[in-house]
Amino acid sequence: MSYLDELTTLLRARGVPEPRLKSTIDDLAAFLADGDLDPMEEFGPVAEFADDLVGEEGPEADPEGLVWGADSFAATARLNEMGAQGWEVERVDRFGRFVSHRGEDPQVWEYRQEIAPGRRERTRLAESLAPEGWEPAGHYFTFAYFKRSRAALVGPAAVLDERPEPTRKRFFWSPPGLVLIAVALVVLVISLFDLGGTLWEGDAADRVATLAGAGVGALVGVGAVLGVFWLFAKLRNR
Amino acid sequence: MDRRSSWLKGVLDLLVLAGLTEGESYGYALAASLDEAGFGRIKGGTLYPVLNRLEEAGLVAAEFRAAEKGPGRRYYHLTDQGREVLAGQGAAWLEFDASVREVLKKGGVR
Repeated sequence: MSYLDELTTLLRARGVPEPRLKSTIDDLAAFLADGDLDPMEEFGPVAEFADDLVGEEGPEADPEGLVWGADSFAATARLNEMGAQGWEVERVDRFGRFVSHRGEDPQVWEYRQEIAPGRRERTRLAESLAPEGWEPAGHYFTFAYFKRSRAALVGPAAVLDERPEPTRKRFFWSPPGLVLIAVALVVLVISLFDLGGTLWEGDAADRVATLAGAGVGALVGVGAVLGVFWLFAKLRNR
Repeated sequence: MDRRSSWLKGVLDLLVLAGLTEGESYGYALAASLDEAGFGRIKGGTLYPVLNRLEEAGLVAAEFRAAEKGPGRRYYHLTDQGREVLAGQGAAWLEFDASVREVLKKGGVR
């Protein structure tokens, strides 16, 4: 019996469905033909290769993954809720969502959200929190997130006995967050409406002046928000 | 297991994902591109379990196409989830690599 025939028998015995089995064996035969390779030398002992292909005794199972988000008013509570279910945040993606995973033996994680405008402030915070076991978990806009394994405080007791199913909800709003978004949307719509009216009715000079004013106004607005956060961070560090 | 094989084992899945960013590919072509990149000949016995694992995790998707002559091939392409994992885990690897370099440099390794 050839190597691939034997592999076919072994994979079938391990429950690989027929269509998948045929395509796997064909693909492996093509691989061997491409390089004029010897199957034993290329794939190793046939039983071990069959096990590796179906994942038995193979690498560790991939951790369960979850990407979710919360507004900054709800983030700390939600992070700790998810952390209590064993979810560890790896990073915060460019949309501000928490990219998390949960390993085979999940343990409890604790989180905190801090205001940290700029890399220097994040580094300073990370250094000041490190002695208490906190490590950076990502950042978004002016917020920095830190995580701490409960095991650092209570040892093996932090390992979870249960593995609760995550809720289907993937974004968590808080009432203040919703109010803030609603107000921001209303202001944006009124501003755009007003801006559009001036651009439509005014002459060329009006349009230039209006656009310049809108640009300066937007910069001042963003600057004011950043300034408030920066001031908050400064006062906290005193 | 020699040290180089051990390093490769930790990063082969990312190398495979990275090898699919420019478009679909198949087993032998992926092994050949890794060889060209300086990783040496990756044997099918190492590569295929990784491809299967990535497929099961939804990081790559495979399509089997019959060939006019000879056996058909399974063509792999990156999924959106695969791209996301590549970006995140790739960045983590680079961070790890930077720390190793820093420490080795301090230890006088040039």
